[in-house]
Amino acid sequence: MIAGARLQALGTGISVSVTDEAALALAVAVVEHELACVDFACSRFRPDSELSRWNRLAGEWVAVSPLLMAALEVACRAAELTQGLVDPTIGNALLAAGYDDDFDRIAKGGPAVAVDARPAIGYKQVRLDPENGRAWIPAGLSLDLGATAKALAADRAASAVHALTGDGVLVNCGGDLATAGAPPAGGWSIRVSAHHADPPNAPGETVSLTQGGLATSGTGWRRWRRGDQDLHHIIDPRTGRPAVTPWTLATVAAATCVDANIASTAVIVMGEAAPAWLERQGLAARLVGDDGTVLRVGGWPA
Amino acid sequence: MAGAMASVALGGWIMSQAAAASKATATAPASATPATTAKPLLGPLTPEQLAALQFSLPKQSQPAAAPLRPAPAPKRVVAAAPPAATTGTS
Repeated sequence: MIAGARLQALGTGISVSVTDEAALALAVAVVEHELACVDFACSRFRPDSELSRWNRLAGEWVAVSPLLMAALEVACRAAELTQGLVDPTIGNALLAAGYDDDFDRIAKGGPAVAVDARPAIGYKQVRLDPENGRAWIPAGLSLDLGATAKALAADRAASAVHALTGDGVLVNCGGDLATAGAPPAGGWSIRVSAHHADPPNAPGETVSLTQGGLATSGTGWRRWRRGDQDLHHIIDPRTGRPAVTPWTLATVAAATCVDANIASTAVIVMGEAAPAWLERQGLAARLVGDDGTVLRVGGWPA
Repeated sequence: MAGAMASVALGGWIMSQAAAASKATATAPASATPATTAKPLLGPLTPEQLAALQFSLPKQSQPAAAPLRPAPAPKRVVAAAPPAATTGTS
């Protein structure tokens, strides 16, 4: 029998579902532990995190933990696969846009900000030395792993729960979903909506997922206004500004939550070219245009 | 005489290249492996040595990233039971 629990971590709502109710307590403990580890390694919003420390030491080779190294490798892979559209070197652009704390705590109003309207330095300037456990970024650069770390956390947590319990598991980190193990009969039932905390009857559709991950990116929620500027959290690395996009929402299915999230974020930045790109990648996706039109590509069910 | 002047000019170029290479290494350590100690530059270099110097500037070489992996597409569900989770922006 499917059992589930909810918790808060990584600045968002988390849910854990398992196919055996008896495994739920252990599953929750494992997920809490994994997410706490990812938060400590990758958060840009806590000064004691490894990432914050590394950003302060930009310009020096710094020893990094295996977990942060894995997150950095995922972020650089995302950038390479998207030709830099999903790039971790946008930390300064996010700071300049006013996204300098957990979203719940940033000022949603106030005077205009000096948006850092320059292209991102680019992931190729990030040097990783996994053999020696160290990494380097140019002085002055600030990395942000927000585009990939949450999805990585979901994948890691789901894998860990399955490894320890042997049961099927679904981990939802603020709309980034990862599965592991055998799903329940008929697959995991997932509501695709505008916000991960929407009630089940909110506009959207319900699909079933038997394996892999599902992720949604959008511009509709993490938005704020400064002066006459309408800002959101998905930065276009080519401009250093919040992406101008015809899509308000992109949901992608892939073999992992990380891959789904890389693609869903890329779709928002890529704009009009996204449907053809998704078809070339063989990824099923549901895109919502700014006029509310729903476009299904790559075998996403009609 | 012309040869000597050429050597002097080449020596200056080598010095500037060495300085540039040193600066590049200081600001962008592309190689994860600590650089080996370079031999001192003594006198004019052969074209082959010059080419080797230019191409010894550190380059980042990483294997190509593994491509995005698709999964079986989700299936539409028309069910009365509440979903196990909701995806959407956070």
